[in-house]
Amino acid sequence: MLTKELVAASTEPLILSLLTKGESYGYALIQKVKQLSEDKIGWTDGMLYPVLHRMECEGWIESRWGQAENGRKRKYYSIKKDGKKALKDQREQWIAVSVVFKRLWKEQYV
Amino acid sequence: MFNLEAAILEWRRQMLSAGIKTPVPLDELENHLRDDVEQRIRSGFSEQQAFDAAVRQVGCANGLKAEFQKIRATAGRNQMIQTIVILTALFGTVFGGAMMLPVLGRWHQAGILIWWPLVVGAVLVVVAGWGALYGIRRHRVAQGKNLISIGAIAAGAFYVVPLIQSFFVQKADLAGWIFCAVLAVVSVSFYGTCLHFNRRLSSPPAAPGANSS
Repeated sequence: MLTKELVAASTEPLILSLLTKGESYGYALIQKVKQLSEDKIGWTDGMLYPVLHRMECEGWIESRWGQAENGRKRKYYSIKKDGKKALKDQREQWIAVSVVFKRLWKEQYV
Repeated sequence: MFNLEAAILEWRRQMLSAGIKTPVPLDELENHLRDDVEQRIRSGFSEQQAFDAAVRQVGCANGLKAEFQKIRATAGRNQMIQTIVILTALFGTVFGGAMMLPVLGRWHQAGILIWWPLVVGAVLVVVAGWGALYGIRRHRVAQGKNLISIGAIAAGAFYVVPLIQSFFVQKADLAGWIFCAVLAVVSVSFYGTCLHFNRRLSSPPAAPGANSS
């Protein structure tokens, strides 16, 4: 399992990355992250919503109420232009960190 | 016999009494809870087991309330601070400029009566400008962008108008004309920089209550 700090730092880019593939809703986002991380990233489900609301306040994502297949209303989120910009910045930062680790560990273990 | 609808109603009541405001967050959370319960039932859980597990996974009411309150408080505070910062910056720039511009017409004259408004005006413009830059960097909110855009236009217009006017006034003071041009460029560049920073800066990350340790 990832540490709390790392999970916290990766939340926004994860949400933004998932939303670049199309609009989605809270439950689906959580399931997708669980699936992609093979259960290594575990969010307390309810806590995702304050983050989504904050990102909406930031102007990175927008939401709309729609109807699910089962007839229930559901809140869908989609990424906005500013969100794409924010993702681009965050992506560069994560890649930079990843490159450093790759180089470091390559030197150390190969 | 377990009644799912009654249990959800009771969960909703507990959330409400803990301070999770309806309708948006609570409706959204309820939808999430129902999705999770359905998924767990499909995986072979009983209704009660599915409900209990889903409620645990959503998290406790007090924790959720604290997270939503943080967002509301932060957003409200940021908006207030940024509004104050921008208004102060605009006031400082305009008031400072207003002290400076009349002096420019008597640029060649000497004496404290001529120079003090120029100095005080310049200090006001610089302090207000840097205050705005600092405030915007520290308290970024999306809504501030429009205010900054208005600020950029207002500040630009404030200095550009006398500049244009100087074209039509005979015997316009050359030094004043140049000074206005420099102020216009600096002022618009400054607010443009603020706007640029405001767009580029990202907020510190917030955790969605990580389960992992």
